[in-house]
Amino acid sequence: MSKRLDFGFSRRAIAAATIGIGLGIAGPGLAADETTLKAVMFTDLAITDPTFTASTITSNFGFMVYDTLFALDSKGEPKPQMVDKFEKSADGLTWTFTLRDGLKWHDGTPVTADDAVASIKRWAKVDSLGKALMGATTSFEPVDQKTFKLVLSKPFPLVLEAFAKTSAYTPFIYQKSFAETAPSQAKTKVVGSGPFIFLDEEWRPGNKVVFRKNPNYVPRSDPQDGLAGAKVPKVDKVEWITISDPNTAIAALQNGEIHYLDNPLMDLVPMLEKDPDLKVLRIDPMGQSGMIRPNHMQKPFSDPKARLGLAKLVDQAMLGAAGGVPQNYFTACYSFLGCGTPLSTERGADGFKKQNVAEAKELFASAGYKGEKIVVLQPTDVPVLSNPTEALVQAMRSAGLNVEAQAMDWGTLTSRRTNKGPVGEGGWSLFLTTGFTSGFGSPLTHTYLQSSCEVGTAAGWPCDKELQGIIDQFQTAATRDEQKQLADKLNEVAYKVLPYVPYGQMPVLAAYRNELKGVQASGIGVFYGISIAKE
Amino acid sequence: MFGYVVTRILSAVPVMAVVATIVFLLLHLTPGDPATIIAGEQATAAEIERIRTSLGLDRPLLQQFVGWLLRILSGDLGTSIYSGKPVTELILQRLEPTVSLALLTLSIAIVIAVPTGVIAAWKEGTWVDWTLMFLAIVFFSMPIFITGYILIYNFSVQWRMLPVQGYRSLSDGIGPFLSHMILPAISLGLVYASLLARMSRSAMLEVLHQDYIRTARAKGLGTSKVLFLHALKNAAVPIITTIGIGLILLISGVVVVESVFAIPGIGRLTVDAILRRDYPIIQGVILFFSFVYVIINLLIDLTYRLVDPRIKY
Amino acid sequence: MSSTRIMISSDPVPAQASAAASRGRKIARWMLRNPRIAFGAALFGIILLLTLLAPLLSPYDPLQMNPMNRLKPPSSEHLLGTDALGRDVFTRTLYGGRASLMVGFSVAIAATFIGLCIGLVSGYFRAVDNVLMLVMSGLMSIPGILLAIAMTTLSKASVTTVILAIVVPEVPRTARLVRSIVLTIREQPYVDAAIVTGSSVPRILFRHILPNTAAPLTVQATFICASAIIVEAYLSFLGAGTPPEVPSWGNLIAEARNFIRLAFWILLYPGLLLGLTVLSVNLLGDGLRDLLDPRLARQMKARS
Repeated sequence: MSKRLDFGFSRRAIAAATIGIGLGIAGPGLAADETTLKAVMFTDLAITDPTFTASTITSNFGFMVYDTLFALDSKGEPKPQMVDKFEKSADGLTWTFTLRDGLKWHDGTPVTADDAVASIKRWAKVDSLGKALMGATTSFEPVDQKTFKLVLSKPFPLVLEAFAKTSAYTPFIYQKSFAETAPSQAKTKVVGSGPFIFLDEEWRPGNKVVFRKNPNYVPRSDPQDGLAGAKVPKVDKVEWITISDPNTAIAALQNGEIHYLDNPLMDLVPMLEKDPDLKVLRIDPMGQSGMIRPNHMQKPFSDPKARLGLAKLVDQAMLGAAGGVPQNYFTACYSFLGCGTPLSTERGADGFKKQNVAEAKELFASAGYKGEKIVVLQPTDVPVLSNPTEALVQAMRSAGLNVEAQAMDWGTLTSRRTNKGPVGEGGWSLFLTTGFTSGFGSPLTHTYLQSSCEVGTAAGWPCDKELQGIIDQFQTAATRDEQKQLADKLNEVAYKVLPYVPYGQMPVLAAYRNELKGVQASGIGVFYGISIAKE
Repeated sequence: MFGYVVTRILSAVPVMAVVATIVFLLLHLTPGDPATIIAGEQATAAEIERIRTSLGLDRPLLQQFVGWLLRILSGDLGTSIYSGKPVTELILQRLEPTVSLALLTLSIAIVIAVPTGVIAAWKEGTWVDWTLMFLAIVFFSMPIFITGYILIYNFSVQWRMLPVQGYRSLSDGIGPFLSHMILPAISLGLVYASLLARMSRSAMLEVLHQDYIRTARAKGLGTSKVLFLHALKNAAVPIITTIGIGLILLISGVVVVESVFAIPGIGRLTVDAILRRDYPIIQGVILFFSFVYVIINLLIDLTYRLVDPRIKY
Repeated sequence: MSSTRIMISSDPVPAQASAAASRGRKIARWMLRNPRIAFGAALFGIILLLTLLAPLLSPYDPLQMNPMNRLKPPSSEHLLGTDALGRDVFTRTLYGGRASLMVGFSVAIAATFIGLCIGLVSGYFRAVDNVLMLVMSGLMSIPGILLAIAMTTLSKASVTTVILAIVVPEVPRTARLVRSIVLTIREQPYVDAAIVTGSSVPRILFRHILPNTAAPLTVQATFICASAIIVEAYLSFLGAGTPPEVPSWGNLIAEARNFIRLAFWILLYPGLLLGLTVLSVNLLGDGLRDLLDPRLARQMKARS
């Protein structure tokens, strides 16, 4: 059958080509021989190893070619994905997982329990939740070809949440041979088991990434729901095209040169919503949360009073407007556990809801600030961060701070922020970033909250025993009431320690053409389950 | 002649050596550590050190330079830090759009510029000359991206006549190819045409003031025949020289235009690589462009003899 | 060549006060004869004045933000509207000219000076000539904008870095021009005489050779200035220019390009002023070239 189909395709391809030549200018249409979904993602794919970098685009890439043991459904509940069934012992300490039938790598070999265990172990080296899980683990080993067993030393309520983690780092399952290379080796061959196959030979870094439908993928039988359920690739090819200019990208979408635009420029969203050919969707209903991240290791923000002063300068609505977020899409948020998640609370945030320059000045003075240079990293290629950064810099200057904004692209920023040194030695004082609010629901999955004083914390390196103590207590807090009490305490302490300053929530959007059917709010842009209707 | 060709080719070698040295020193003496970038956020100091060693960044500068030079001479420009792909392959993948853009721009520029220059020279001192030359200086002063955005805004956004971005290979048909290429080629071509038109005019003027042209005119030969047959032929050498010199302008322009129109060419490759500190690509591409420039000017030098037999070596 | 120089330096400086009226006529006539210089200078003068008088012409601070009042179209309150952070576009366009013109002037002066030094040394001292010219050829073979982007992104973004990055690719042209002039002058009898009579090398360079380079260098500097203003804009556009908080024209355009569909004016006015400035400087350069020496046109052709 596949042979006949191939024949049919090539006949059509020839016909299309002939017509194309005959007509001369064929217009900005898309090739008709194969269904190719053309998408513009928010940035160019630079690295293909999702355990090597926390970059979201690499995570998107992971969801194309790799698969996960568990996945979050649209309600944020973890559901089995590669796992067929699992058992938990009565004491909750022993977990046994069995993989589904028919899971195959793109090279044709079967996916084994060996692969799964090695991949999880590799992931646990870099991920905060993974580290916590392994800290509570006695043994984690394969039992047979398709079964593996996790034995815990103490109860850990978030085992499934860990395996289903969506925000970076996502525990994708790799081939064992790959999983055993250190996560700092960025260049290795990509062999996944997911719904799409990465075509390395067609990858043009900086231009396009090409995926082909995995014809041997066996989807789950339950319907697609969030990232859980069946993953059915419905188009022959997916191309991610890089268009660095956001206007050009939007015009390309309106002209039908591309089908899907990830993360359109916020300012232009109202215009896209008016276009009858397009739809705008909140890909992640929870959206993303803005964070102002100070460097806790260097002056002046090593002093909590300086961080309090910084928080007093923040006017969330103003920063949101500066980022071009339309007002109906922006929510001010004073909860460290993301607003809209079950544990969100505004405890302790009362003094921070209005900008207060005078108080900020006093706080900086009492922190012993005497006009030392403050270096702010500004990612000029990300308008939604760059403009609020400029607005914040102005607010800081109005409080008499000596601020130097250093412009760079986001990629450079992610490498610059690893420098722990003082500003005179290439260090930095603060930067703005955003994170998926869904990951902020639990303190254990919330990377930027971690204040463990260890090497592994995210750039900014907050260090506070009390705050980390509260975070750690969540590992054993079983009931919702217990968790709520802890969450209140956490927010109160966090507004004193200020691992970061929250500056509001905004949506994660995607715009696409009407002919795309089956686009879902999966939390992250995925391309299975989407088909292209013929006009 | 043969002797000249050999000398001329040999003279290009030290120039390329200088280019290689400049490129190498530029990237190795400026701050910014590729090892830290490759290692990623979670890396420990030991890991960064290991990567630095594996890249050979810990060796003495001179040793790195010699090693790098030897590899270049064997045709190996290294591999991209990020994608792990060979730089030569990356350049070759991107070659087609850039060459297409450059050639189309060049054609447009020549088609506009040479007649403009000839007419301006012929009408020297009249309002025609004045207007043409004023337009030339206006377009020469116009930043390429302003022209580009005005064209995009009108043709693609408002009137939706042409695609706004991207590139279609000539193998997809001449229609799609031209519809993607025409706006970028015009944005860039106008600047280049302005330069060429001015040069064509002055080259023509010089020829028109020669005695034999005056004689030809006095003999009653048709104006167009005098202009295009006799005068232009003799003005060709300086015009071709300008095309060669202007090539560097064209290359610089290509970098900007590829950014405006999202054309996946070498210019875009370079800008991306520079922003990411992908050293091997930066080095490779700058070397490549310089090599092309040197070679083309070499060819132009050698063409002189064909065009203008009066030049003796 | 020397006669044209005399004409420039002595014209129009009549000693008698009664000559004021005739002087005015003279200037008017001179301007009619040189419309490009007159027009270029007038245009450039207006733009320069606008940027210098910016604080008097506008009540706003170019950096004062008001995000709640962003992307407003031109109105009586904001003559040219507001940008993405609610800053006044008119004010920023005027102030932006300061940075862009500063880059243009600095680059022109620095590139001319460095090129002059290298050219003098290279033309006068045969020993170093080959090496210097080889380095210059190498530099000229590297596309200037790539060299400049590489220099600005690999070091810290600042106005100084940007100036330096634009200067370096401009130096070789000037150096070559000066060198070719030196080579011609060196053969002149009076220079020979100076050498024979034992004048010191610096004296020969300064007394006999330097003055002859003044005219072509002025023209060259004008063109470098125009090109530097454009290159600065390109660098900022590509994200490798002056820090974004400095309101240079390049930065204004780079920031505005995201909003061309919502607020074309943010891009249009700085772009227009940038184009006009470059035009005025190019007109000046063109006019000066033809005025200073018709034969120079031929020499300049071999430059670049």
